[in-house]
Amino acid sequence: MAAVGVTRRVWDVAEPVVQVWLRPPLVPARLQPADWLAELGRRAAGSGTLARAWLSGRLDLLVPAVTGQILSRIDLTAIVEQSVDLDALVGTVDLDAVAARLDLNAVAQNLDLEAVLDRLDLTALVAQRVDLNLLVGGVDLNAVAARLDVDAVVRTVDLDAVIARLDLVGLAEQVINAIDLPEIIRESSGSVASETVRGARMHSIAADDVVGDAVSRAVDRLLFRRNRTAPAGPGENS
Amino acid sequence: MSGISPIPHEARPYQGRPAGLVTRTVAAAVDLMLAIAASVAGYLAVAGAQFLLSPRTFQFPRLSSWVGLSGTLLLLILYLAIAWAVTGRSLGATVMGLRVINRRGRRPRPLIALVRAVLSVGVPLGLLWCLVARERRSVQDLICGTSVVYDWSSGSASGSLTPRIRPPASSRSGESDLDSEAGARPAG
Repeated sequence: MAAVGVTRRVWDVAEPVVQVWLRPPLVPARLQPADWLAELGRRAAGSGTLARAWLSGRLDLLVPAVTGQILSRIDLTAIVEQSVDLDALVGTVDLDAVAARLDLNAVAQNLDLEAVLDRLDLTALVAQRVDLNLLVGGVDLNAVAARLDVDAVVRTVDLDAVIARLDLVGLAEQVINAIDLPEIIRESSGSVASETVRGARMHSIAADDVVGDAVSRAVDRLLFRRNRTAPAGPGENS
Repeated sequence: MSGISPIPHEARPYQGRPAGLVTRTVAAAVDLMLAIAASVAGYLAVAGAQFLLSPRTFQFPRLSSWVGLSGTLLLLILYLAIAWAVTGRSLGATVMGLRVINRRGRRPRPLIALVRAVLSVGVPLGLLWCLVARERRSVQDLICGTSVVYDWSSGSASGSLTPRIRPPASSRSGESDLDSEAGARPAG
């Protein structure tokens, strides 16, 4: 009984509101829920299928309008950000399965790889991240060199220009001086007579110096001179 | 190929320097022996010609020692004068690696060469002056303005053909066109 009393009290309070909701003012008669409910009742009494179709038609009209009005008045993004734990939500998603369903080839075809490469400093990347020594160590340079057409490479070189820049005469003179070519020729082709003449010349030069120095000293002593400059000697003023 | 020298290393420092008494004496002795040999050859040639003309009455021609000596010395003078004027070196100088040059480092002129040859043959003791003179000059050199230097090269001393020959310092003048290789030899 108490429940009946409470229900009656609640109805007394809610009845005006329900009446307003069922018969909202300024709303055309075809859109008033009371008429819909009455029509629904009548149709439900006649045929369940017709009633569902009628209800579906009304909901198609009502739900988009109401939903649009509601969504235009609320910030759904903010509500989701505040209320939804996106990490937990994403954690439940099987990303591997998603990735497996992705057509990466199609994605790659749409990528502008040239622009991506232009933005990358590949030289710096390779220098920082690639162990070139290890990489080159693994290369069979002998095999590479064996495949190299050295003749073709040399044919591209302007040897005339290279030779033109070389001081061949000076180079030849340096080489000949370094190996003392004249001495080699003398040793290989010189006769005993020429060696004898060469020895006689060198001995006579030495004798010249000895005799000259001796006479100079004697003259100096005779004339009581000091510091007389010797007339000759290798490396001295003659 | 001016940078390549056919001269042995040990002799290069001496090239262009005044020669001393010993070398010059040996060279002169060689020249004297050459003159004597040439005189003997000439005498034998004359004798051979006489033998061919009259073998039955042939006798070796008799020459006085004065004629022989003066002929030999005259021959030597002519030879030295021609050799010094043409190449700047006689056979003795060639053997001993010497060359006669004037103040400019060139071969002497014919008249100078002749005067020098006469003085060298006539006053051989003048060579001794090179023992005490500066630049090792003999009396003949002082009179003729010449010098005798070591030069083992085989070229002639005519003009620019022998730029390596260098006159002694005291006789050199600013117009000398010689010696582009001064760095290879001691300064002098």
